[in-house]
Amino acid sequence: MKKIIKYCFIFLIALIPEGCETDAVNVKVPDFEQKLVVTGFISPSDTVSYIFVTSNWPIYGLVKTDQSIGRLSGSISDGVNTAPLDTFRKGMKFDQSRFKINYGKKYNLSIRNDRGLSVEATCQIPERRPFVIMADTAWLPMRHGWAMNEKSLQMIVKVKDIGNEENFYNVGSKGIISGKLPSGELIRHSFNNYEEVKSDKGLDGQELEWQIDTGFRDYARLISAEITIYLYHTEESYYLYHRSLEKYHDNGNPFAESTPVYSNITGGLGVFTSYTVDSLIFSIK
Amino acid sequence: MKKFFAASFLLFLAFLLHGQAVKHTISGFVREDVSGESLIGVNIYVPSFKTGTTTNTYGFYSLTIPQSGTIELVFSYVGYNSETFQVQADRDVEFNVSLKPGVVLGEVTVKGDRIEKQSESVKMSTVNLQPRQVKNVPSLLGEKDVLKVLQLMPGVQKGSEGNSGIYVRGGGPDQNLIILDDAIVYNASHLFGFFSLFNGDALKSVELTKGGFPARFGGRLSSVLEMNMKDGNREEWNGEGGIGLISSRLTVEGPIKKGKSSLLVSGRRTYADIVMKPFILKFSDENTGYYFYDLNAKVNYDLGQRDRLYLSGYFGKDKFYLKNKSQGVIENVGFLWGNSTGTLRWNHLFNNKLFANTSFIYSSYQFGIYDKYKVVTEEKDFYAEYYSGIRDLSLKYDLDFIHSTRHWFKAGGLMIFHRFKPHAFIEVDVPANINIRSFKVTEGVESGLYAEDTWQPVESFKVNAGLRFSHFIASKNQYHFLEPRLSAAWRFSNDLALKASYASMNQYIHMISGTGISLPTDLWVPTTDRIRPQQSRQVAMGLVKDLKSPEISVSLEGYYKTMQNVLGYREGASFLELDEAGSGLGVNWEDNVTAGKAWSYGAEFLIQKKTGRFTGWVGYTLSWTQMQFDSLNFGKKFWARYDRRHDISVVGTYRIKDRITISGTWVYGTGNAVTLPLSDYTALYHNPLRSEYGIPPGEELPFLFGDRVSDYSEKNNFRMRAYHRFDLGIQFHKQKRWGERTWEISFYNLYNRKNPFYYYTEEESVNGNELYGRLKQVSLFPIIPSVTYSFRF
Repeated sequence: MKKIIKYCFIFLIALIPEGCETDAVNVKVPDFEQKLVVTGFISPSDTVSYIFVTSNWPIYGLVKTDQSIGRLSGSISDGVNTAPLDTFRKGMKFDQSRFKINYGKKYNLSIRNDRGLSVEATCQIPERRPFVIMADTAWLPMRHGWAMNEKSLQMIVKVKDIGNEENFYNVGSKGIISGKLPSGELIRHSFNNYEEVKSDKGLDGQELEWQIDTGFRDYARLISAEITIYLYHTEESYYLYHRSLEKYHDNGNPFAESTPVYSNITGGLGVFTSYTVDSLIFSIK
Repeated sequence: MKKFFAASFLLFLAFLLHGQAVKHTISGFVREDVSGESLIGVNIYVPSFKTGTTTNTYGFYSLTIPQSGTIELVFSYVGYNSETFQVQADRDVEFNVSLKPGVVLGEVTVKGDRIEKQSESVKMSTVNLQPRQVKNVPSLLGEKDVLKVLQLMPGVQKGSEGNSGIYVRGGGPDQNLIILDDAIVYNASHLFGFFSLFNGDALKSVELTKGGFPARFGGRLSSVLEMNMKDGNREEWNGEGGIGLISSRLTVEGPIKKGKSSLLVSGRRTYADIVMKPFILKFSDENTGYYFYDLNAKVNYDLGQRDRLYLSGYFGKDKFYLKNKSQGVIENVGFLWGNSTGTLRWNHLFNNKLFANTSFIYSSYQFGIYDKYKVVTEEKDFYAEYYSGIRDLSLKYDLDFIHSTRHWFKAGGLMIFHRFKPHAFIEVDVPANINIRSFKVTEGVESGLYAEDTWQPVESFKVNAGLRFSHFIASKNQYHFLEPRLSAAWRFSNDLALKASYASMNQYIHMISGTGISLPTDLWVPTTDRIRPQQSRQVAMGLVKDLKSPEISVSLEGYYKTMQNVLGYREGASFLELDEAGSGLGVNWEDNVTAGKAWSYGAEFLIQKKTGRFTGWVGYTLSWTQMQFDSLNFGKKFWARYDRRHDISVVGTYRIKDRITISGTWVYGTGNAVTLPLSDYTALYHNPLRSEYGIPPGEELPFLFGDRVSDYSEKNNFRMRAYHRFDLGIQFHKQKRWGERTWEISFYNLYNRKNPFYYYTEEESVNGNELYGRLKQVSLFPIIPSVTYSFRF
């Protein structure tokens, strides 16, 4: 549907005579202010949790994307215990053997550099929930790409939402499928999918469904498959951040107001959020 | 308490009845001499009593004065010869008057010596336009446009380049009540807002009220634009029209039954699609085009001395289409939008003081997008359609009770049945096994009751006080408010007045727009159980001075307006977002909007000359507009997109000779506030199933991959460059045997100023492998000459 609206603006854009695009002169562009960009997705199932730290960069004048972030230091705290963070090439990390991330607990992150930049953020790990993952397969028209008229093996994944609370989810899958072509040639097809984030708004306590396209097309005969399904139960900030990234690239309207990417980092950019993982192994022989 | 009210009522009655026995009423209708067209706002003055009145919307007047012998009545109206009559005032008299146009070849002249002065009227914050004024102002591509002329008045701002949307005293375009013959017009623009849908040839009067709203108006926060169509010539058939670069128009009017009934039909259509079609088909498989048309029609009929019926309607449509047929695939894509209105009005004169109008009104606005895709060889179809709209059915009743020259009461009521279709969506994709049909209809009932009195207790003081009770029924909740209104004018001297006003307004329907410009995609939605009505309070104060020679009026006004529950899209929300992706929520526009507050204040200066060889005005507005939403800009205040510190308009028309008129317009405005990116960064996604990126040697790490995104910091953090432009037009008139013709040559943006329409950022390679970022500007209209041929027969 969104391609339709793009057609809609063809005419309007066509009204803009060629040659009316010029450098903006006599305009003072905004000054660059360096900020730390922090991205952390932590989970009780991690052995090591990583907090990526980078920098924004100026877009007016000479564009230098490799802005130095200086020497970093930081800590993570659950309100009682505080652990210093170790550094690695892309930011900071902590080993859960020294500082354990627990279900339902709140954690505060603090990072600073030697140039006076500092950020703070908070996340709360989702509670442990007894999710039951149900999965089945079906041959359905392909959902993506140029071969939409052909059928592929698809996973139908269902999870019952926990009622009377806000929940946010994501589903991932990976697997290997073996098949045989009409020529008799054996093939192995591997895939790795990560779906769009979901909220239970409007579906509280009901069954949520995902349709995962494995990409294994029906011109080959299925011999066997081993597929692992992951259910990620996430914080709201995880959902808001990923939704804002999807919207950022897919507004559908070239004249729409700018869409900022969600951030819960005080003093900087990015997100510090959490998730828990449940999984199911699905086999076909 | 009851005794107090009873005593007050008796006192009031006694006051009204005081002097009744010795007074007589002169009443009647004022019409144009040649056509029989009723004239609105004609000034009627009785020099011997130093008092007077004006005609109402239907040309009716009533003047109650003490018993006397023969008195002199002066009828005057801008653009018409003043007429003085001797009337025997020893009894009630019905006295109908015809005024002769004093217009020669488009010039506005008043040959009488007295028209109503600005300083005498209790109205403030009001702009009156004569359609003929509109015809003199140079315009883009020669298309005369009422709304664009209103944009040249202080307190009224344009949105972006070429756009006909109006922003009044910091209010959004949805906060303007645009009425054509009592019918609400929801989308007043053609071609993405570049042209308004009001065809000046069919209009009789245009009045914009920016503040000090009388109680009879309600339902919008910022302005009321009231337009009335011509009734049609009752005496003879005539017409006018024009041929322009992008459209042509024709208006025909005449009597159905001479002196008793008349008809007017006016139409306009663009023809770029027809002209370009052969060329497009020659070079491309795609047949693409755009057109708009509008049609106004009105008929009226006298049922007797006291009753008159009017039936009027407007129908307009814009359509953009693209048809592609190649390699066995037929694709048909397009979008269209249009308004239609219909009004049936019944005027009834109960007696020489009491006039009533009853209106049944239909109004509708529809917007739609369609995409049909067919693979002929495989018989595979894809079909999608999206549309939104609003449809109103209204009943309106208004009473004018002109008790005396000191009291003019108005009272009445309005009930509107709204039917909203915020969005309907159909998607049929047979191969993909998709068949979605999603419709949602919301209804609401809006009503209002009002009473107001224009009271002149002494010659130097006039007040209009009123109260409006407004009510809206949403699905479960009901909202109702009392809206007090007050305007007062105190004349210090014969030509200097101090005016002040207060108005409380409520708005029950809202337009949400995800863009900075007026687009047909803007969505009309009602107040609901979750979305509260918009509310405003506005105070204004001003000075008006009328100079006699030359006849110039000067006004200075200041205002302060607060607005509550103003709606906007949430960040990232879109009208095409039919459901919240990744949730179980279906079609619910309420989740896509957020409510906030706004403040606007400023000062407006206007110096205007309406008569003589040279006419025109200079308007200056100094204003500030800020907004605050919990869900936008992190809850912090920000400047509204159309916050404009300085706005200047200079408009002049000079009749060099009887046959040549030259006109010019210069406008200047502070740049719009827009959101520009401050910097860029990489935003990382989370996908723990991959492991290729960012892994320190020897460490297990989930894969994180990212996108380059921009940091916008604060909303509307940047000012565009100031906007200014000069337009020039020259009209050559000539009388012909069959009537009159006018050639107009005009230049839009004569000095070819490259005004910014929007900005974007662009990077280019420098020094081999380095990137350099620039802010680029897109301008819309360079100098655009145009030629228009107009005729009147």
